Amino acid sequence: MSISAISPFPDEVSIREALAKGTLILTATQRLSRHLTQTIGVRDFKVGRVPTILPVDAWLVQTWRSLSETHKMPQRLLSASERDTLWRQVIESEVTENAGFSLVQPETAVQLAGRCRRAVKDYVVPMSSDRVRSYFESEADTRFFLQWLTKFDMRLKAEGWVVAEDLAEDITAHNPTCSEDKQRDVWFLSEEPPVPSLEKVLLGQFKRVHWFRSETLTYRLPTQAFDSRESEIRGAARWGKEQHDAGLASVIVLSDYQQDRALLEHHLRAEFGVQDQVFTDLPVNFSRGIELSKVPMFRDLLLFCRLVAQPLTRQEVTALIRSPFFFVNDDDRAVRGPVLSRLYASKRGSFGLSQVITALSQVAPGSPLERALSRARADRLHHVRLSASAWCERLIPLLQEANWPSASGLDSLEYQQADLIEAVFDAIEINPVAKDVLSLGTFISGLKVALDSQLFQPKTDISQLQVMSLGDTVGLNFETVRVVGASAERFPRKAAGLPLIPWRICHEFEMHEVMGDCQRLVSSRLLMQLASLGSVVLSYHRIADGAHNLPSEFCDVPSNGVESIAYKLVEVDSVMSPFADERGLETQVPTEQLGGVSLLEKQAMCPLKAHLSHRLDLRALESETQGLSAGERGGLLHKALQCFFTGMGSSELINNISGGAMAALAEEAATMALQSLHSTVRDRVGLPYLEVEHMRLVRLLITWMGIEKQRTIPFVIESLESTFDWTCGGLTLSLTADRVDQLQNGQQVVIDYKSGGSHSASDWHQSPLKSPQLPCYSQLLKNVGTIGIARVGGSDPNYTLLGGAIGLSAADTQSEKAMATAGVADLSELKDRWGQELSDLVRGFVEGDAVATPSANACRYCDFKIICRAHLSEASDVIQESDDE
Amino acid sequence: MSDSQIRAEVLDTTRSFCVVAPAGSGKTSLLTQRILALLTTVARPEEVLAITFTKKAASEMRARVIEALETAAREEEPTSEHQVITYRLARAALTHARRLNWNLTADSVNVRTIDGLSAYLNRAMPILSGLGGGATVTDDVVPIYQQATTDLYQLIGEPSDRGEALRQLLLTMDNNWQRCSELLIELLSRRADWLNELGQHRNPEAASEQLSATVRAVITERLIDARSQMDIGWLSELESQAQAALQRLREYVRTELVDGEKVQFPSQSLCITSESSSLESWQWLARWVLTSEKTPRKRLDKNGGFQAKVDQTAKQEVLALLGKLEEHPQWVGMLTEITALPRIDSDESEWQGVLHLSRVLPTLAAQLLTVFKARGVVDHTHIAMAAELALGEEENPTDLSLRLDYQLSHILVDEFQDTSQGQFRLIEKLCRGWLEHNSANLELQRTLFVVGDAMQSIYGFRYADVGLFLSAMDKGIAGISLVPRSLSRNFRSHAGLIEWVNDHFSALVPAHGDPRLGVVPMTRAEATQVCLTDESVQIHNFPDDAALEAEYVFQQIASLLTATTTAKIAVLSRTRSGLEPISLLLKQNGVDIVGADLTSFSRRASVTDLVSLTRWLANPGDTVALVALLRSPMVGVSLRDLGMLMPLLKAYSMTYIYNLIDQCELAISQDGRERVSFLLSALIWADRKRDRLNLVSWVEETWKRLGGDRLIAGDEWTDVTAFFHLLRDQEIAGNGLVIEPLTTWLEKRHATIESADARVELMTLHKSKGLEFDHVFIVGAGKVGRSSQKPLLRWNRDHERGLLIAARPDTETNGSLYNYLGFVNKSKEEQELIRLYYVGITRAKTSCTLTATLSSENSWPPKASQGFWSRFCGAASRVHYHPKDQEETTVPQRPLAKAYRRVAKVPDHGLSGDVTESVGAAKLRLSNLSQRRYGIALHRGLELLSHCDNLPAECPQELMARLRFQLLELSAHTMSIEDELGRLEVDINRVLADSNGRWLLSSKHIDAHAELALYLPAERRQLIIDRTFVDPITRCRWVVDYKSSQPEEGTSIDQFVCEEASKYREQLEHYRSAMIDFDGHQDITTSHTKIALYFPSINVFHEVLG
Repeated sequence: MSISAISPFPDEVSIREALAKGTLILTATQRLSRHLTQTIGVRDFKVGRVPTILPVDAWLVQTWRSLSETHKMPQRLLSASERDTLWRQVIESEVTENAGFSLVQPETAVQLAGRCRRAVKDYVVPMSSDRVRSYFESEADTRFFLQWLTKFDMRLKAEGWVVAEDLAEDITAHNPTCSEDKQRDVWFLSEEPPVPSLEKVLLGQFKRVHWFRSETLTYRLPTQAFDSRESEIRGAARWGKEQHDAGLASVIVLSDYQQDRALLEHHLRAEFGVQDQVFTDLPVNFSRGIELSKVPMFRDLLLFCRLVAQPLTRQEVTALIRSPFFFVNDDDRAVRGPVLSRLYASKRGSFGLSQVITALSQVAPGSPLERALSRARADRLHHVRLSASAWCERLIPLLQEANWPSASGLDSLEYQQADLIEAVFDAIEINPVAKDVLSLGTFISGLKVALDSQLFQPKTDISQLQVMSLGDTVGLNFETVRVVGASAERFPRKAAGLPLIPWRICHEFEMHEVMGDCQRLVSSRLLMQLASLGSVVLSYHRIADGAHNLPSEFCDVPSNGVESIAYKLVEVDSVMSPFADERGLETQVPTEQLGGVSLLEKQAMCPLKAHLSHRLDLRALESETQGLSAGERGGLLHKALQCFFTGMGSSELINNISGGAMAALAEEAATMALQSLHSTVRDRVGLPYLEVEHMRLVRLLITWMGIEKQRTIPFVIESLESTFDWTCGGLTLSLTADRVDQLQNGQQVVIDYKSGGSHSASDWHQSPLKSPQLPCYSQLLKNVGTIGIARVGGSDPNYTLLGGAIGLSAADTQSEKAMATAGVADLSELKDRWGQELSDLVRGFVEGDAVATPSANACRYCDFKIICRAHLSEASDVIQESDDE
Repeated sequence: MSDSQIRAEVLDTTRSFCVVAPAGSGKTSLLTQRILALLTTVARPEEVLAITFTKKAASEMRARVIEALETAAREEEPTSEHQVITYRLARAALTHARRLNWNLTADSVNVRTIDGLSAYLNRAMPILSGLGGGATVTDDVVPIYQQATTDLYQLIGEPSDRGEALRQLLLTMDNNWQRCSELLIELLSRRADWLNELGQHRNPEAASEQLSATVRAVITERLIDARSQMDIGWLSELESQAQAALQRLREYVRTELVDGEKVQFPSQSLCITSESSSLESWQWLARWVLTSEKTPRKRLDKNGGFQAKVDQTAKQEVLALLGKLEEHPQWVGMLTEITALPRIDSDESEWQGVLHLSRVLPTLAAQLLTVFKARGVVDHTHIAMAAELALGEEENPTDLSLRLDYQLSHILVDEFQDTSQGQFRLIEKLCRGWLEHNSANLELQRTLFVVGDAMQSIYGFRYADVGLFLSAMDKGIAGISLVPRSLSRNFRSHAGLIEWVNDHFSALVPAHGDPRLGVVPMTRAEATQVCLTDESVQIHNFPDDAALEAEYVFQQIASLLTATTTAKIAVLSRTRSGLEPISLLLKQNGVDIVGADLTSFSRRASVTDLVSLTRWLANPGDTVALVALLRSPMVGVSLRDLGMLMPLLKAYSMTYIYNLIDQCELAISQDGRERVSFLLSALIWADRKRDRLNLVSWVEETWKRLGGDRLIAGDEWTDVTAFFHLLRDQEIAGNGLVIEPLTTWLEKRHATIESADARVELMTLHKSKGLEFDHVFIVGAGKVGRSSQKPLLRWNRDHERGLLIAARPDTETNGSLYNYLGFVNKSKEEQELIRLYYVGITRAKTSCTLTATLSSENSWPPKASQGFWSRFCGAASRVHYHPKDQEETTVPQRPLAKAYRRVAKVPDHGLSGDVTESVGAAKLRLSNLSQRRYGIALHRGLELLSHCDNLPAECPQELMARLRFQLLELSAHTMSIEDELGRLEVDINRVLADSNGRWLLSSKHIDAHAELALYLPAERRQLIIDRTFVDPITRCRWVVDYKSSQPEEGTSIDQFVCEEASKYREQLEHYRSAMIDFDGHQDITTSHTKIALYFPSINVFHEVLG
């Protein structure tokens, strides 16, 4: 006996008649089963019995369950995610047993192995056959799979588990003789032929089996060509709206549903004018929902759980803190920002439970989120191992404590989503494959898998306009159809391949998954079925990723699609007006300590930058820093130099100290500098980092001493890290001079340490002053003869000087040249000029001068680019942008 | 051989060829013909594999083949000779396909990019490749590399060689982790090159010896080359003059005529031989004859051993000898290279550096794998490496045909000059065994066909190695000899242009190729079209005046557009930023342009506003983003008002500030008040909609509420759309709004201007390869790129000698291997730069104009020693010089004093009632799984009992087995079900002992059903009724729902039942109504329909009254 293939699909009347005769109708998809139930089963009645129209998978499960229930050794049917867990364990065991084995994407291997086993079962491949096994043994990949398969099957057998692809075989093996089904017919409605295992079970169970499918398409379908994917999908949305308005039952078929669904929804929303409304306001039915793990409330739930187990990245912690599904406190919106600022201020790249709790307790003490997290920390949940159900019991109170998920109330869609949490926890609790006790991390992985495998499909009204993939259209009929993405590349879909099964086996058993012609045939039948009942238009786009796309083989000569659907162009100038705005709020003088010398530096570089930083106290969020930041490293070096020279107050001491003593002093200075670091910084960078930093500091100090020893003019160190208040124009700034030396002639040398960068003496005699720091000190100190930058770090440690000689030949020569360029004989001649420059800078700041003055130097590390907008292409002739190929 | 003869010959499908196909020689059509010819010889179309380097090239080649097949299928025989050949080949391919029953579609023509091929091989061999299956490949690799380096740093405290190596490495980098990361990241992107090599340095001594041997071999080879190529007589003469000068110099130092500190002497006497030991002498000699700019000395002084007025004769003789160097630039090149050659006892620190890196880098690569694994993505490099791995080692190759289901019989590679070492190895592996096959199967030859043009090798930055092309031509691939053929006819450009290119580039490119230094020989092209203009290629310099340059180019384009209606024009530049001035000018003047990758998205106004908004939406702590929004043209709050507002923004919620403004309690201007409340109302709306609209709609709607869409100029919509696409990708990935990848992407990606009718196209020189235009402008010529950081590691794989590798030494030292490798890389880059201009100029059919803004500080034209561009200009017969107007005074750098722009009047939409539909707060409540499981099993038990003709007195064992199955389905194996099973048995026994229970389950009723599934079409829903029947005595229809719940402690049974009845009344009424309808149409007569609850656990049957 064999299955008879009949074309085309039966109509409604035939199905109803067949049902009346007791025929069982099996469908390829659940959608078709539902559709037939709705349209055929009870059309004329208000209430009726649910007709016997079942998706074939559901029939298999139902049949197997009724058989297994009476079996003496009841088995457990694993769900898809439970099956995946078992595959995961099998593949992980390979890693454990085989030291050289590793897979970068084991999850893909899990899916692949599952697919290949399904094929083996579907096509009834006799795995016990030596010949078959020898094929598997002949190649490394298939050999691995054979081992996995054996392990997988042994585990199933040992535990009494069954997976979906085994059902047909199990039912056939039971071969119930008294089945009522033996007396009746079955119709199988599918464009794909039943796989051999199904064929076998159907033939064994029923009197007659009819496979209904459509004819293949014998002509090409009208096609529209668009330039881009965007315009093609926009065209489809517009078409959909027109069909909807005309009251036609229509469908938009996406050849790549996963990829195009979101964009289509976006354009449909625009066409229907519901952009800012909830999803249910869009009168369109989408055939597939989204994974729960992508639903915001569950995504944030995962973050919460993960934070209990391990640190979160900046992005993740930001998402958790701003989540509307966790309650912070009554004035949420004013709290979340400061919590995040506080966390970011640590410069950390990731945040553990304690850091988040600390930030919350500082900004929003006693908040529900803080309470929940504190409780998790107190329970030391990240240390314990529990069963899945125990984890559920532990986590649920925490979530309740944090007011998840209804911190800010739920809308109707969110209510539907929240309802699914029970099923998610159930799925984890009843997973028999999972280990007995789990760490929190493993439990969370299980939670993620459960959320991934559960789809959320909003309950929406039935619409005339549907969106689905081609496979979903089996047996459905529409008045108008539009297929989007009909390019040669994507349509028909390429055969997926079963790389873990030897090719000879694939071919011998004619596995559809690897036969390109089968895919083509199925697509052709699906199109024919749609075209026989309604009008079908295909569309594709000509350019994809800059390359030309060819139309699908089902396309007729394409006509141009909707010409580029232009956005409404606006005369921007008509709504915009220029306004001069380069002066901000004045500073009320006298005012103390709006900043140090950096205020003057910024004012000289870009007044807007100074205004935003010092007048408005605007700070960018700290970025993540690996190790110490440049500022922290600079601070350490300053501290180390201070400690070092505290015990080394003159050139005489420097010149007379032995190598060993100097090294010891350097060690001590580096240690003291590191001890001065704030504990939060030490925690962030860790001890090993600090040990290397210690070595670096010692090296720098000793190298620098080599420079100091070269100074031929004796000096004593007058002060180290002295602070001064400098008042000018009503503004008092707090300044710190790194070091002041006094030479034999009584003249002072003011020294500023730098650990890198390039510095030029010309910075001190340009207008505006590029580097106002040392000129500023020269106003404060009475007898400054030389100012100098000590480049302690970098590849070429040395002094950059301006003024009198300090006894370093190269640096003194350069200083002489710089003085000559400035046209002065000694520093005192520059002091008046500097005084005026500094006064101008202060006055500009006090008066609220906030002109943006972009330059490569000012803009390089500027955080305020998006405020001043000087970087925009229309305005950026001043700034050199880096640019490469 | 003529071109047409070559074209005919290379269609011989039994032989392998390497074809040099210069610009405009019809390379793609040749490949198309060869593919068609091969399709007539194979058993399956997939046996012919064509490999390209870009998707665009692959799609074009596939389209050309399909077009030829379709033309042939339509039997439209063309007229031109060339097209006839294609037509006939296509006809033959179709006939062959029909005979073998193929369906020749675009899908079956096996054209793949090299990346696509690697991905395909990985998919075919998922385990061997180590991937596990089809991989998700990302282009956004920096964050992944960054994570790998961060993970690496975790090992810094490890007490091991690896930990020590890492500490030393960081110390070398001044413990600057950020900078070290950047350099490590750079190395990670090239790990395919070093990963295998560095792993071998586990034995430092052996590795050190190996490296020294390689260095020695390289030195000897260079010295032998020098001696063999230089005139030996001239060299001897020079050597003896040098000996004498050296002697004099020693004397001058001794007599303090020359400062000894300024002079370097060789440690031994001068000896110019081929031995590596004579390197020091050679280097002294080279420095003696060459200036620091590596040009022959024209002046000799006492520092070189020539005292003024004393050593005149010797000086004249030496100058005469040096004059010969002018005639032989290749000698200068050799001497230059000799000065850069490393000492054999190279700096120890660089070797120590290699050893440190050899311990650190494999760990870094392993960390990268971990990151890949955690993120579920890989990079293109990994895909390529995995494909190579999957193809197996030399001694243990994979049987490809077994895995691919077909044997590759013919491989064609386009643009072979762009092949990298890794790609070359992949191709070699694909052809493994072909040599043996071809020897044994003379009738079924497998062939390779590679096409390229070394002069168009411009992808060195993507690790292309032009030497591989030259080597393939010479030595074949995987043992297969390739017949070398060169096309020379150019079908694209007119004769004048071709002649200019021939003459000009011949002067720039050394006559003999030297792949080691990236030097390729230049092939002269032969024109097929007449000369159209006198000056086909023009060079213009506008010293320091980019504006004048742009204006000039614009004027030229404008006149060309006016003069013709069809001519296509390209504006090319080395860098994207180089195109910006002209693109702005063209746009401002209404010229329709097409531009790919012109401006970074982050520099587009519309995107900047969107970024500000998105940043704030992503992180409410981002005050800078909020201020940017306040200052954006959408809102336009003044600085003064901002100053008043700022303290509040930091302390209070948006709603609070909004209310303050509403109540006029803020001392800001009326205009500011309106603008601020406009912004705040939009942001408050957005906050309420957070995570309640899809991501794109949420951001877009907020942006629209701020009027962002009203301020977009026409061409900026593409930028905005690209931005939203990016957000959508985040949404599809389920990541929510994450700002870092967004801003990185915007920094790196560039806006594209699209227009269907534009005749002017702007692009980089690299992008122009493969295209042609009537007129080409190359702007910003001669600009020097920024120098990048010195890499941690430099290496060069010498095809003959092996790998040369050096780490960055602690201090700058001459004669280090690191510096020599830098010299080699620099030479390659210079040669590639020449070829880049060759590619640009040869895009033109009619004319090409190069414009530059070379500084006027130097004399014009600049000296030949001043680098590539000067040599380029020097080689040209004419350069147009456009000095600045002398009258014009230099304007000092001035502040950005232009006025801000903002919306003239912000729309008034305050806080309307548009708040989120909030159904209310829902507490997280979960019912007990055990209870539910019990309930399900109880229902099933009662259902099964109701099917019994005679109810048993006690629960039968068979039923218990079935119930066990039910419980197991909802249990993990760790859960004990025995208690529940026991409870079930008790409850069922209780039911069976209860008269109400037995009555309910009795089979004597009329039309009795258990778990009856009813469908309500109007409501599109199903109902499951636990138990229903018609009592034969009363004719009453009963509809009963089972409840497994029990009263809690302290609750009386009556109270509990009452509450339950109240709770389920509505549901039961619904059942009743449905049952009445159902009975109606199946003609069952009932007196009335009653509803009830049954509680098996407490033996209560309760009729629910209406």
